Amino acid sequence: MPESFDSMLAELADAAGGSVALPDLAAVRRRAGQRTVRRRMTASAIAFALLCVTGVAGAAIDGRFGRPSGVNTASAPSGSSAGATGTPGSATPSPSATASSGAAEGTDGSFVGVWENSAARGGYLMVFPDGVVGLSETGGASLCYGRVSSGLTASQTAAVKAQDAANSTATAPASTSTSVPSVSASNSIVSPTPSSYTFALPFSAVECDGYGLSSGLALAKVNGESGLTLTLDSPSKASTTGYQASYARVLAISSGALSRATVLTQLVGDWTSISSAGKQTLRILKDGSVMYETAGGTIASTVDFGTIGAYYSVGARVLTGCTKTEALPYCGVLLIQPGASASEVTVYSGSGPATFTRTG
Amino acid sequence: MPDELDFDEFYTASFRRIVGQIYAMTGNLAEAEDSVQEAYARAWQRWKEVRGYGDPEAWIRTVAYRLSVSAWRKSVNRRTAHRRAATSPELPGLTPDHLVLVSALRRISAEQRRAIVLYHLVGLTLAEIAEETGNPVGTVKSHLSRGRKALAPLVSEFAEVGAGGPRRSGTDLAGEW
Repeated sequence: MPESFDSMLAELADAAGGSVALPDLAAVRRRAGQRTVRRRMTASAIAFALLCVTGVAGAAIDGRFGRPSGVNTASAPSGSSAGATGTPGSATPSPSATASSGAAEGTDGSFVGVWENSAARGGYLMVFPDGVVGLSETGGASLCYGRVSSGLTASQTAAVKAQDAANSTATAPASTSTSVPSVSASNSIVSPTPSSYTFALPFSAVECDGYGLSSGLALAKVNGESGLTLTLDSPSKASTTGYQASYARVLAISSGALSRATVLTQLVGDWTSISSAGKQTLRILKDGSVMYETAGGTIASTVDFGTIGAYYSVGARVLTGCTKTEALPYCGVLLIQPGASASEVTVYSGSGPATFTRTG
Repeated sequence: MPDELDFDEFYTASFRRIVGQIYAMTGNLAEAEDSVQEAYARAWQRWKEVRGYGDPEAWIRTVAYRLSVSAWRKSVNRRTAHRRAATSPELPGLTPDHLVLVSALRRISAEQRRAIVLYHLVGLTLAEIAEETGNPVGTVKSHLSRGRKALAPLVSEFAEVGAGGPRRSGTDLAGEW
């Protein structure tokens, strides 16, 4: 008799299952997407609420214990210094013009940060506080190296020179495996900058030829409903057609949070990543020299040699040398981010972030 | 792309079956359909992880069941579900025996119903049910035993079980009860 019960139950379940229409798979995926959006909105709301609570608590503490006389609460958090060159009467305070203070915080409205192009073309754009720019190209290994080349004030230029000098010191390993010259550009981005500010990026390396680089690229900030985005304008040239792309920031970059010793302690060793992008290997030596190799997959097979030369809140930047004799001092850019555990790092290359695990 | 193909095949092959199972556990077809679809949406978000499990179908079933009995979710969807249920037609092809079975299943506790469906319909062993429900095997046995006893006066097939008889001939499961 229980066998009959099993049959009846099965018939009941079959009847129920058979009576529903199989929802379109696209509807399921759309639902998953909506769920992701809801989760992000919830997370944002929670973060905002925490921020508000922190602010209220801070205000309450201030009110309870009082502030030292003579301190202007409105200007207290400003990073401005003696070197600041704010426009008189401007509502936007000028940033510090001193590179050592890590003026270019990626959390503000500046260009600085790691940006992702969500459109079909895909790709990443990195803008560093010292004016170095990396732009990924479809199939490229490291990001194409570039520098901001126009629109800088005298103080910004001075800041960049100071940063370059610091980089130059940091990028002088006793390695014989690389011969990467130090950063020598005389311009940079120091945030915040006006929203209408436009930069030209003097790419000319052969690896980045797909961008129509000989005529330069321009970046502009757009504050849309979804937050700050950058638009990249690539002019057309004989071999390529121009295009415009939008980027959203996925990672903030700020200076001075990590030391060379701290970063190298975490990063020195051999690392491997195997993914749909192919097998990627990374070797980082004690002197900061780096070998980055890709084999097969969706990104070009290549070997890049470079040096860790700058350290930011998110990790270490690697500038790789040019494989052919070019006028530029560098050709590629990578960002290496230490992982939560000592056995993992995330490498932002031309194909985006990839997790590497320690193999040696 | 292989991930998508895997998911598509899995979804097409299993969706209706799991809706039937969740319906048997909850007695509400609209709720079952909605929670199963939500479970697939969640699976799609982490398909690489879910496909690595030994039995992705069990993952979907567990998530869908939890969703369907979630008090919070019920309170949020109560009005919608009520509208849906009010307009949804009766299941086609149900015999009077089936209607009696549906009615009987609704009268036992949710845990007992889940255990009975997993055992009699899905065909899981006691250990597998224990794993899927997160209960000790002894608790599963208890749910099954009490569920069958509760069903005995309502479903003639269980009359002898309610009196203490074995459930399934040819297996050693009767001894586990």
